[in-house]
Amino acid sequence: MHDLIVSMGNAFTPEQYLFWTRIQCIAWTAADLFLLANLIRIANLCRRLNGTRNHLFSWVVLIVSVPFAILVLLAPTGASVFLLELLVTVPHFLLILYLLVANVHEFPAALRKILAQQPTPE
Amino acid sequence: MRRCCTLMLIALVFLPLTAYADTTAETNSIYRNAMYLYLRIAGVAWIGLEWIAAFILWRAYKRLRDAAKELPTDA
Repeated sequence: MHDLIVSMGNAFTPEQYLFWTRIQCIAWTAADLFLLANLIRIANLCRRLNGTRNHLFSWVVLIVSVPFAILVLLAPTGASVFLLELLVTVPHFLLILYLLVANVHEFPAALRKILAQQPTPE
Repeated sequence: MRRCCTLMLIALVFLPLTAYADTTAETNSIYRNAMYLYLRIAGVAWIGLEWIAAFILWRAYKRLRDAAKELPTDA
């Protein structure tokens, strides 16, 4: 086990660490964007069913965070990668919180309407 | 004089520790690299979970959209 750890430590240099960090940042940011896009679409669908105005600013926040995510690929140091990821993940996290709080009544109301129109099993 | 001797004794105690620190600095960097590699592998698992969650949310949206097609929107 010790030899395995030492061989892993010798093979994985700080330069490789930075390279794979960038790749992983892009991968999880893409997952964040896809997840948030669908969350906003679900929220807007529920709001449409309830007659409430759609979220528009949420889309703006999501689109504005995309360039920072792309800049991660060009970041020269680990510190700059970290700062760019902060500019992406903090708005995303706040957006998720906002969508959940703002639609705490919209989701159940829309779900009730959808379930009410479903045929009841005999 | 006594203080000087005390300080010399303390320096003698710490001298081998600095040599130990030099030899362990390289070992520490190897273990640090291995730890970073482990964090990268754990990150892969986290990213996988996040993509699964995103896919589930996408399927949920599609089902909700299909189920809501018949409903009138209260516009």
